[in-house]
Amino acid sequence: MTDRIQVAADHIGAFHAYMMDISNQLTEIGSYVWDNVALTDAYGSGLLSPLRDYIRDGACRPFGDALSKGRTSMFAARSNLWDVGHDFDMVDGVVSEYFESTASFQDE
Amino acid sequence: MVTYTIPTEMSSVLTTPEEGDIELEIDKNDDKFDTLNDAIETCTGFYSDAQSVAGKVGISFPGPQIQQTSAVELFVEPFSGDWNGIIACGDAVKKAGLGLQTVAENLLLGMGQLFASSGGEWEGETALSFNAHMGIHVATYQGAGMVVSQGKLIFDGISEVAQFIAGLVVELIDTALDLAVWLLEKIAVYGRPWIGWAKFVADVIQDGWAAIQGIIDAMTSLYDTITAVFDLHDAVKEWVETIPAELAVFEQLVGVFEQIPDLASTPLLTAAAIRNDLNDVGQSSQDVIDARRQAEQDAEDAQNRLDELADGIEKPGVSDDMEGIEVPEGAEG
Repeated sequence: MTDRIQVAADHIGAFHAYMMDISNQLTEIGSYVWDNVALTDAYGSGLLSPLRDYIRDGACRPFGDALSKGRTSMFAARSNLWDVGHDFDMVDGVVSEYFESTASFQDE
Repeated sequence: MVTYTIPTEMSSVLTTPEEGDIELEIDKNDDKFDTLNDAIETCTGFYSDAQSVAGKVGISFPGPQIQQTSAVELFVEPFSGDWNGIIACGDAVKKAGLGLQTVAENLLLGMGQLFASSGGEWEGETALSFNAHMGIHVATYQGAGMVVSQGKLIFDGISEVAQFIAGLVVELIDTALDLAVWLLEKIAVYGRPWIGWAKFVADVIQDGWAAIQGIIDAMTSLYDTITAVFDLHDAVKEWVETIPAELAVFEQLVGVFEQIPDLASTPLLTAAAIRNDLNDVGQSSQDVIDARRQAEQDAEDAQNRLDELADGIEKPGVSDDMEGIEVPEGAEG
């Protein structure tokens, strides 16, 4: 039984770390849109130039806000998962390497 | 230690946006704009002199007064833009949408490892609850990815209209240039000091305004062309102001992400005694799907509206006046 719990804790730890990688992917997407859409000079300085502000404020900012909410939700789920994994981990009284190493910054 | 590796890295999805290959460059340093400036200035001077000369014999010159303006300020600067860059923006948005869908796939594959590859060692209500909760994340990123990818259509619409405008401008420049070349040649006859205006008076006395009807017609056509460009300025300004409404679909994305239950204030998974209401989770999933479908529909509506705008802009851009413009015989080339 203890072995099974430890396997579960190890996989929960792996997914906990994995979610951080996923969250970083969201950051990459946000930066990509900002760099390639919000900061573009494609609309020139003439009659089309207001499009730049419209697109930055009407598309890029809400897109960034949506990603931010997604990351916040993922961090919350991640935090909960850490608690679950750690509880499992502690059942046999041994703290595995992962939960030990993440204990100090799991809420970041 | 068990580790999960991300199956698809963002670097393979978020590649450099592809630009279009539209060739509608208008070079403001092109000599043709000097010719146009000369023609505008010459016509303005001719109108003033002709009005003065005609006034001395008690009549008024029937040609139009062409507004003194810079050809570059009229034709080039208002329409400055990089159509291929706008196409690249659309491609970037599409790739961002694919990125979100990739996030959904990566999450799903990670969950597969957690619940299947682990041998199903984590089970029970907490596991079910977490699986259901992460299922909402997956659905949200899938849906948002589709919405954002469809947002590309809005940029395609903007690019399409911008290219259309550029095409119109090129046509207007060509028409104006034909008229300018012709006018500069004809008006030059009357532009010579003393002799020119003496000939002008003699011609008009002998044949009436019919003697210079060609010049009057060409000046009228140039005037109409310039007026059409000013009309196009107004049409473009009006069209640009409609764009914010077309971007509402991006605002709705925030709402889609708000559908994810907030675990920060509700620690659903902190203990084995968790009592997750799966019905609520199911309802939230349905809300996400509904919101996504609504957003998709709105994106489609936005594209349709832009299509209509692209069709409609021809009317203010190419006015009825423009249709009447005829380059006098011999003006081409």
